[in-house]
Amino acid sequence: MFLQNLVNGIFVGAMYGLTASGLSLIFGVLNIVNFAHGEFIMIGMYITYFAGALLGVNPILSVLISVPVMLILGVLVERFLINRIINSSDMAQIFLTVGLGLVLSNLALIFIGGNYYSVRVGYATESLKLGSLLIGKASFLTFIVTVITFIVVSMMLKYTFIGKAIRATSQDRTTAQLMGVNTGFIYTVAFGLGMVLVAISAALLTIMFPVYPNIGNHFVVICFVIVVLGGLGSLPGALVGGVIVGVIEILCGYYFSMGWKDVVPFLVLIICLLVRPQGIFGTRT
Amino acid sequence: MLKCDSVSVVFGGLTAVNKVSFNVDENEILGMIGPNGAGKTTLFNAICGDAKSATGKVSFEDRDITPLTTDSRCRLGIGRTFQIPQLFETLTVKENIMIGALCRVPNISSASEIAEKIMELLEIKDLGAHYPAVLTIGQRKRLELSRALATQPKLLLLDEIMGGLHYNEVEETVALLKRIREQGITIFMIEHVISAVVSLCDRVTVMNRGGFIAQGTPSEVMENNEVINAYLGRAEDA
Amino acid sequence: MRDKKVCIIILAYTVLMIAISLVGNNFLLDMVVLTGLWAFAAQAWNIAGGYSGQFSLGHCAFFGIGAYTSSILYCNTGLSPWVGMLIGGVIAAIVAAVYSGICNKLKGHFFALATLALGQIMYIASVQLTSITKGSVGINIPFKPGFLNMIFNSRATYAYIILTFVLLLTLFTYFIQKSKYGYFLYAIRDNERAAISLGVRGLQLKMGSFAVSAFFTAIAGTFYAQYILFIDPDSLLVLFLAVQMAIIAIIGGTGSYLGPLLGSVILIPLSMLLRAKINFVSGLDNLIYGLILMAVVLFLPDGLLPFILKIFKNRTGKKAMEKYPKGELNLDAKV
Repeated sequence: MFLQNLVNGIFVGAMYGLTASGLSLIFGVLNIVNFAHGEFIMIGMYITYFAGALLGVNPILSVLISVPVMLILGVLVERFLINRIINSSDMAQIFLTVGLGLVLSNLALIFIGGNYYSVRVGYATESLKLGSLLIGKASFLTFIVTVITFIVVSMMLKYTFIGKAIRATSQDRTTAQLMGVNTGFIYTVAFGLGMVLVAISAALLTIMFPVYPNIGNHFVVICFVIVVLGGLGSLPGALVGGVIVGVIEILCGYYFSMGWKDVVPFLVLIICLLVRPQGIFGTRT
Repeated sequence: MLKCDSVSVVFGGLTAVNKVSFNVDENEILGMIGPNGAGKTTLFNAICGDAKSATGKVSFEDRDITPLTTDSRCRLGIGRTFQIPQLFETLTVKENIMIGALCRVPNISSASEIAEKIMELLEIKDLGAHYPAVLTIGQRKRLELSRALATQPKLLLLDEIMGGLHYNEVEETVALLKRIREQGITIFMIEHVISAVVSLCDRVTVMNRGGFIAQGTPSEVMENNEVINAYLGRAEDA
Repeated sequence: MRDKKVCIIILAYTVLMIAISLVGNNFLLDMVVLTGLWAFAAQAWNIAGGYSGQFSLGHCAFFGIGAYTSSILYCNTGLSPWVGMLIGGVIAAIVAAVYSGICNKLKGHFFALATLALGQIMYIASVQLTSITKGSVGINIPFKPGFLNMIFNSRATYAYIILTFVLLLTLFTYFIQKSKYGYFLYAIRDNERAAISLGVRGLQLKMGSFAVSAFFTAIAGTFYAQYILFIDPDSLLVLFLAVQMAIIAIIGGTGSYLGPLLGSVILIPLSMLLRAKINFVSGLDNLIYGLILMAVVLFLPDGLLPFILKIFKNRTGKKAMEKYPKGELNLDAKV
C-alpha cells in the first residue's frame, strides 16, 4: 500500500509541479509573484472544456487551441500591465495581480456562470495494472505529458539563445542588461512561456477536476508552496517541489488524516521560507 | 576603545574576514585601505553586529558587545555610515536625521533641535524639507553622516564617505571630520581617497584578502612594499 | 484640545452619530455598520501593512481568532463578548508577535506568502477542530439582545458602537503616527537595515506593531460575529477577507490614518449598492473592486488620499498638504 501511495503521490505531484512551473518561471525572471496565476489556470481549463464541449476536441489536443490563446493573453498582460510595475514595490506588484485575478474570475462568473463543468473522457475511470500497483489511465497520461513538457522546456532554456537569455535575466537583471540582453523583451517572452505552461497544465487538470470561476484558488496556494520549495525560476525545482508536496500530501492523508493533510503544504512553505528561502534548487540568496 | 579579537566572517565557503585582531584608540582617526573585496565593509558589519556569521570577540569600552544586536550597539555609541547611502526615502532630510537623534532623546521636539544643530554643522540646513530623492551623491553622503552623528556616537565608522565626491567636497569633508574629532569622537574610516587618508589619519591599516597586511602612520604604510604591491601601485598620488 | 486635526475627527464623529440617530432605513444603517467595520479592520491592517511595512495577507487569521474566541466563550460559558473580545485580541496579539518574530528576516513577497500560509492553516484548523469550532457547519449565536451580550435589536446601536471603535482606533493611529514610534515605523518600512544601525529597535517594533494590528483585527472579528450572529470558516478565514483589508487600505492610501477610512467609505457602499441594485449579475461588485484596485496601483500608487488632498489643495490654495507627505508611501522608490 505504501508503494501505491508513493506512486499516486508522484503522479499528483508531477501535475502540481507542471501547474506551478509557469508561476516559477515568471517569479524567477520578472521577480513578481503572480497572484492571478490561479485565474490563468481557470481560463486555460475553460478553453479546454469548451473545445471539448463545442468542438469535440480531446483535452490533450485542446492545447493546440489553448496554447496560442494563452500565449497572446500572456503577452498582452505583460506588455500592458506587468511591464508598468516591474520596478515598483512588492506591494504594488502583489496587488496589481490580485486585482487582475479578481477581474478575471468575476468576468468568468458573469459571462460563463458559477456552474461546475467537467470533461468526460472514456479512460478517466480505467486503470492499468502493474503487478500489485493500480495506475489510473488518466493520471498515467498526464504524467507522460508532464514529463515530456518538462524535458522540452528545460532543453529550450538550456540550449537555445533565448533560453540562455531568460536564465541570465533570472540570475541578474542588471548584468544581463549590460551584456546586451533586451530584458524588456525577455520579460514578455518569459511571461508568455509561463502562460504556455499554464495552458498545458490546465488542459491536463481539466481531465481530473471540474472547472468553475474560483477553481484557481484551489491550485494557486499549492503553486506558491511548490515555487518556494523548488526555488524561484527553477523548472527541475518546480517538478521536484511538486512531487515532494504531492507525496507528502497523499501519505499524510493516508496515515494521518484526510482533513489535516492540507495543512502540510503550508507547514512546508513556512519551514522552507525560514530555513532555506532560496529553495532546494535556488541559487539566489 | 574598540577591541577586535580574532574576528572572522565566513560566507558559505568564502572567508571574507580572517581572524582579524586590532584596537581603535580613544579619539584617534584610524584609516583602513585595501583593494575591493578585501573584506573592509564586512569587518565594519561585524563590528556593528550586522554580519550574521561573524565569530570572534568585539569589545567596546572594555565591555564585550559580541552578543548584542546592531541597534543596541548603536545605543552604546557605535555609529556608522553605509558605502551606498541607505536613506529613508519617504522621510525628509530633517526627519532622516531625527530618526538618529530619537535613539538618544525621548521626544520629537528635542530630536528636531538636535537635527537643526547637525544640519547647521554640516551645512545642509537649507535641504531640511527636501526628500532624499532630489539630493546629489555628495549631499546623500552628507546626510548619511548627519544621521550617524545624530545618534551621538563615541565611535564613528565611516565607509567610503568621500567616494564619488568632487575635489572641493573632499576638502570640505576633511575639514568637517577634523571638527568632529575635536568634539571627542573617535573615527574609524574606510577610504580610497588617499590624500584624505594622509591628511586625516593618525594611523592607517591595510586590509587584503580578509587579513591585515600592514599598520602604521600613513607615511609608513605608503612606503610598505607589500602594500604597494597589493593595492597602491601608484604611491606617488599620495 | 489644542490639536486641530483631533478636533476635526471628533467633530466628524459627532455629526455622524447624530446623523445615525435620524436614519431609520435598515439598508442605510447596514451600510454604515459594514463601512465602519471595514474601516476599522483596514485601519488595523494598516498599522502592520502600511506603517511598519509588514505586508500581511494573513490577517483573516486574526479576524477569525477574534470571532471564534468570543463566540465560543459566549456560547459555551456565557461569558460576555465584551470580555471575550479582549481575550481574543490578546490571543491574536500573542500569535502575531510570535509569528512576526519568526518571520523577521522575510521581506516583501516572502513575508506576504508566509502570512498567507498562516491564514490558510487557521482556516484548515477551524474546519477540522469540529469539537471546538463545529467545523464547516459554523456557530449560531443565539439572539438574546442585551448590552452585556453585545447583541442589539436595532442596527443603529451597532452603528454607534462601531463608529466609536473607529474613532478610538483612528485617534490611536494618529497619535502613534505623530509620536516617535511613527517615525521609527516609517524608518523600518523604508530601510530596516539603516534604521537598526541608527539604534531603532527593529525587531521589537515590528513584533509590537504586528501584535497591535492583530489585536484590533481580532476585535473587528468579534464585532462581526456579534453583528451577523453566525460564523463559519468560509466567511471568516478566507484569503479574500485578508485581501479585502489590504485593498481598502491601499485604495485609500497606506501609511496614513485617513487612508483606510477613505478606502472603506468609497468601496463598501459601492459594492453594497452594486449587489443590491444590480443583483441579477453576481460578481459585478468584485469585478469593480478588481478594476479599481488595478487602476489605483497603476495610476495612483500612493492611493486616493494624496490625490484628493492635492485637488483640495489646488482648489483652496491652502497648504493642506504641508504636514501630510510624511505619510505617503513612495511606491516608485527604488532601493
